[in-house]
Amino acid sequence: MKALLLTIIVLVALTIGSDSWAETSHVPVHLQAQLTGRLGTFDRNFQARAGTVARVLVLHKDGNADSVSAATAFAKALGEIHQVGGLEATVEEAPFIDGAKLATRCRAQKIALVYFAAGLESEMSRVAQALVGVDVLTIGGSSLYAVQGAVVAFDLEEARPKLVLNLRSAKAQNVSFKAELLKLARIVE
Amino acid sequence: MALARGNRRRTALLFALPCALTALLTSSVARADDADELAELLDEHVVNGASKSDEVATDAPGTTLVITAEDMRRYGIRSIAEAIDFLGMGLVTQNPLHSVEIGGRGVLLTSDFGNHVLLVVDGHVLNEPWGGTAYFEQGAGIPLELVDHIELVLGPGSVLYGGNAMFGVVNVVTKRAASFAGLHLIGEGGLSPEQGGNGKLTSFAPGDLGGSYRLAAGIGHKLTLFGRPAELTAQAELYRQNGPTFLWDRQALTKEDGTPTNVGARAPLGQWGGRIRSQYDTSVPSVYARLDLGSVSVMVRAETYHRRTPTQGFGQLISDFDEPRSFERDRFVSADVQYRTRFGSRFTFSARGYADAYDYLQNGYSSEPSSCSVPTAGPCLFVARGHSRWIGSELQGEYDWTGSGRLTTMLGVDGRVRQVGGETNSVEADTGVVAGVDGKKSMTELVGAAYLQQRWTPVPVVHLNGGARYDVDPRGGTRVSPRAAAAFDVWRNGVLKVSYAEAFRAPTFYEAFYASPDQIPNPNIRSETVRGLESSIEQRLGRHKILFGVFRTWWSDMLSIRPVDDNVSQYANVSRIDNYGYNARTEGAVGAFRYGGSVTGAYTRRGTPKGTETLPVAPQLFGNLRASYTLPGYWPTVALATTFVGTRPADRALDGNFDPAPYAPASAELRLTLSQRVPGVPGLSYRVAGSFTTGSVVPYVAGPTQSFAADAETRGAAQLTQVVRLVTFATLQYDLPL
Repeated sequence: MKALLLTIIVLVALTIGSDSWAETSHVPVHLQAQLTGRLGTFDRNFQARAGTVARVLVLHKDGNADSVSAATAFAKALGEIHQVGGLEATVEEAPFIDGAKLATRCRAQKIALVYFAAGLESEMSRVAQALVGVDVLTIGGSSLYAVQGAVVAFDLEEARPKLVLNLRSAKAQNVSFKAELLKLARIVE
Repeated sequence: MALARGNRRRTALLFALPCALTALLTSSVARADDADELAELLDEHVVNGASKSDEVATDAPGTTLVITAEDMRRYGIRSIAEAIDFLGMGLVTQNPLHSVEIGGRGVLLTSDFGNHVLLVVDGHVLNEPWGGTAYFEQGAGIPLELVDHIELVLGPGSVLYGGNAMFGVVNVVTKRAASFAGLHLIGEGGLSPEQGGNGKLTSFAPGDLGGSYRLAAGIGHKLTLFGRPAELTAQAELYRQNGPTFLWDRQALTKEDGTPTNVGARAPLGQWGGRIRSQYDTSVPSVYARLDLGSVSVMVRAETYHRRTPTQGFGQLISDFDEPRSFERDRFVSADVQYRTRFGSRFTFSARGYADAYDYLQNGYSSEPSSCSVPTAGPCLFVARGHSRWIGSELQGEYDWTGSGRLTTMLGVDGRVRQVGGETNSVEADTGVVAGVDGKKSMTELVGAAYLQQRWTPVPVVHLNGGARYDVDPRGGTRVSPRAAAAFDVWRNGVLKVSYAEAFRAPTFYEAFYASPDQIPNPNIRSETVRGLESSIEQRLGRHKILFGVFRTWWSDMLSIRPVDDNVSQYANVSRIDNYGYNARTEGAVGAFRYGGSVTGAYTRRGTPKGTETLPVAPQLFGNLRASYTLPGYWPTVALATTFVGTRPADRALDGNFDPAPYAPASAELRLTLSQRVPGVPGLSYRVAGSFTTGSVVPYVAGPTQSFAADAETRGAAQLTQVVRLVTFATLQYDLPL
């Protein structure tokens, strides 16, 4: 039992500064990509926002291995689907810098959709404030993102993927979901 | 002429049915739009049990199905065993009024105390190493409100888990704090009428009713500890059951010298039988808690399972009739710490430390001094004890070669030290003086394993999984358990799977080392093994799914006790089992209406040195059907579920010399459940259910004739163990925000 106690102490020490078990989404990344590919069709403003090509930006937290891994896998999976919201898609992966720069980039490059990989949850509320008035659909890899201000997030409930929607952020970012989607999702705001 | 017309009609029907189905399929596909496609994706199950990696169930190796918490609530499920019977596929339980027995796909090995199925909760294996024991009824000590879902991974599954996973793995996943948020108070009570002989319901008078209750308190809370987000989920509960009472036909019982056996004050001298009033009860206090903090997840669990069995058999072979001093008690304490991290973007590492303690106690009170192995002067108390403690660690690394999860290699090692032991005592019941001790032995064993798993998705529609595990166990020797599986997306929403896998079970301490005047140890016995080949095809049509699969299994070195000479027996690897069959499942929803069902059919034969025979107790046909409708507003959700089993031979049908050979007839249990929130009281919800079983018996011979020697003189008809035929229960749950 002493060995177990020692193990517990060591492992608790290891938690400091490491990635979080509690925040992890268990929705497989390729399933998140498939869901993302279809979500655009439920946003009445998606095609107007994107134009002829849907530009997708996948963000990760620099120096966070979990975040980089999830972002890379998501970008690859979405790239293989080719289409987002019924439009041809281009996918770009980049490290997250801050909300203001993201807002500027979204406006300048006409980004239609931003995906936040694991590790950026604590930044999300500031990002959401920065994106008020910016025409963009934001998606997070775990439910905490929607609570913090992403328009859509993925959660796992009873072994099934669940969409979590933040309608206040949706309104602030000119995203207008169809009723069919609202029936399939959990609303947090 | 009439015959020809009949044939033509049948031929027309044979053509018409596929045409109608094709038309239905075509129209369904044509109607599929964006919303349907999204709903299909949201209806995919994500599982972890088959490959220890999160993956869509249709990509997972072999057959994995999911039972959700919502379905368990909806259909009035109160234990893992009920979830398996009413909502599962391929596995089945039988309740001999003791802990339930679990089997699957045509094979059930009676008196195994669940040691051919691996029970895993949040990655922690619950089967203990003294007897491989795992319980699936309330004795599992897993609060159901805390369960998010249960994965049934069918078929041999030692490739990642090691021993005991011969029928498969029951992987229980508990809820995250977000889906169990708040404080939860649960009260549940149930009633059953008095039963006469052969399961007749004889009295509904309040004083004659049997009852059960469950009180529980749970919590789910997100918090911050050491500056890190953390989650706490926990539930403590107490389950108690007493009755109903049963009436058993009298059975004459004599000693070797021909004089009548004293079976206690509650039955005439030399006559076992009458009404059982004091020997059918259960008490299970339990607690389960999990804390996720940063990269660490800590689980603790503790439970006591105390029970009395109203008929002789299993742990009650030595007991007076209706004797409250005869009981069994299991105690479990478990702790598990898991840590995981990532090195670079492609390598994931996890470490798990675990420690468990288990003990078993059986008291059998008999007024007959010769009932104990060492005769006593007065009444004897037969005391059997067993214990196991084990501590170990599992290290696992997974490398993602492509960065997209399409080609991953998992390597793991698991090492543990375990201490097991046991003894049986003959005790003077009046004084507590120990008259004799048999089989006392305690030993420390080192167990190790290494496993490798390769997953590869060469193209998006092909998912391959191969691997093997090497186990070194001082009981049963070394063993390699391979698995190879492939899943092909053959057409839109259609998945074809093929898999081959092996599994084993090391001999229990009792089988290998127990010594008494009538049993000699056999430390050289080998592990039981099973090889399984299966294939299935699953088709999704919108929110409807249908699966059909076939399987073939070969079981070798099956352990049984066999006589060595006239007075002594010994466990040995004596038999093999050949088995094949099919399983099918469907489930779906149309608006507020949901349905589902499954059926499993098998043909099983056991080969022994004496020849080939059927397998006792094991149902060759079983399944379930269910439907529910959610009414609008505060009207309740109405759910009707049934589980059924076909005719099966009793445990002593082949060697008991009963005339006729005892069989339990086909039977179905029907359960109607109403559930809803209570209007006007936020957070309060109810569930009311009634359950009725059409059959009156299970395939277990009741009473002292159960333990008669196989070569005893031919007897008359056997008396089979009754089922509790009618149960009503109600649950109130109060959810408070924190």
